[in-house]
Amino acid sequence: MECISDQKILESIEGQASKLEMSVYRDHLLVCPHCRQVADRYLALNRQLVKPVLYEPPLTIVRKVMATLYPDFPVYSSLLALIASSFVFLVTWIYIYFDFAHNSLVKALQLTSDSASGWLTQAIKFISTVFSLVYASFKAIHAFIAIVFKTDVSVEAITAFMLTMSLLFFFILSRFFARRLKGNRK
Amino acid sequence: MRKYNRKIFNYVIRMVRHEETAIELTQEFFIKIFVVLDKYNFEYKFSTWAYRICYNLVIDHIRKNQVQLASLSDDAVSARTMLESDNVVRDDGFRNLANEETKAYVWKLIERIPLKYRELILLKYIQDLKYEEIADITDLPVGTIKNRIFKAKEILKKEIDKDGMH
Repeated sequence: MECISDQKILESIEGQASKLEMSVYRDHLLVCPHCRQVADRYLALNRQLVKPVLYEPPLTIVRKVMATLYPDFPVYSSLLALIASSFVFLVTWIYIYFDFAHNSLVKALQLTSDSASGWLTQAIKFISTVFSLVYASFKAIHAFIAIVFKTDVSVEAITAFMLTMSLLFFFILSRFFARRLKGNRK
Repeated sequence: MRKYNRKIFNYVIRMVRHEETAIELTQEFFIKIFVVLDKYNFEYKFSTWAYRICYNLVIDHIRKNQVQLASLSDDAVSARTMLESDNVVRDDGFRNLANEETKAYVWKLIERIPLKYRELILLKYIQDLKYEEIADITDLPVGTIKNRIFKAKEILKKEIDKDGMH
């Protein structure tokens, strides 16, 4: 039998030939040392090709792309968002942990602020309102998770969730104001 | 971006064979992907669509700049010489080199085969694509792709035989 062409040998070792052709080539390879040698060479070559030697891309690529796509990202906005959300996180955590909703001191402050005036009472009212809103949203999320997933989620998990959400919220807010500021400057 | 960065950079650098150009083109590719993301056709796999953009970008660059890349057929410097310059030659010559060295040698050779073969070898083995996906990217028939990849392997095998790197 005549020797098989290189292409046919390659097709057979890569499983691209038909079953009939494969069996014919296999039989030939058993009796033909030349074709067997060619097949071995291609097998060795394929082994080198399937695991390529890769160059490590420089880190500057990602940095430059991000700098082009988001020129002022993320120094100013994200820092602002982080500070704001950390504040919300801290306040929420203290409020929930110490159960300030039922704390007599807070209640007393609220009552006092109702009958008083000045910036301090306004501040107390504001903080109290923020606290109440945060506490209400905490309760709502807790109830929602309990209904949907039929499980009781820990205070820590909900607080972490609220932190993430507030981070996102403040980030979007700060981006919005940063853009407006930029627009006004232009 | 990190997922594709390595593969794209390796594809580009082996196509243009110039590091600075490869870095610029890789950056250009990622920026382009972000810009034209809304035009993404969901009929394609995302990777195929992205590689198609990359392929067109590189081919355009090569055409525009008329990059004359020395290929095996017209280059007197063999991959063996390149390996010598990379200090990976062993005391016992080139035969029976360690696997990693042989691999490095083979991939150096790939950088020197003619562009029409190299682009397909790179898509197949760097990007790990199927023939049909390569056909979608390059607009070439599957048969042509198979033939060219075979031709590329034939050139590589001949070169390996010539250099005695078995």
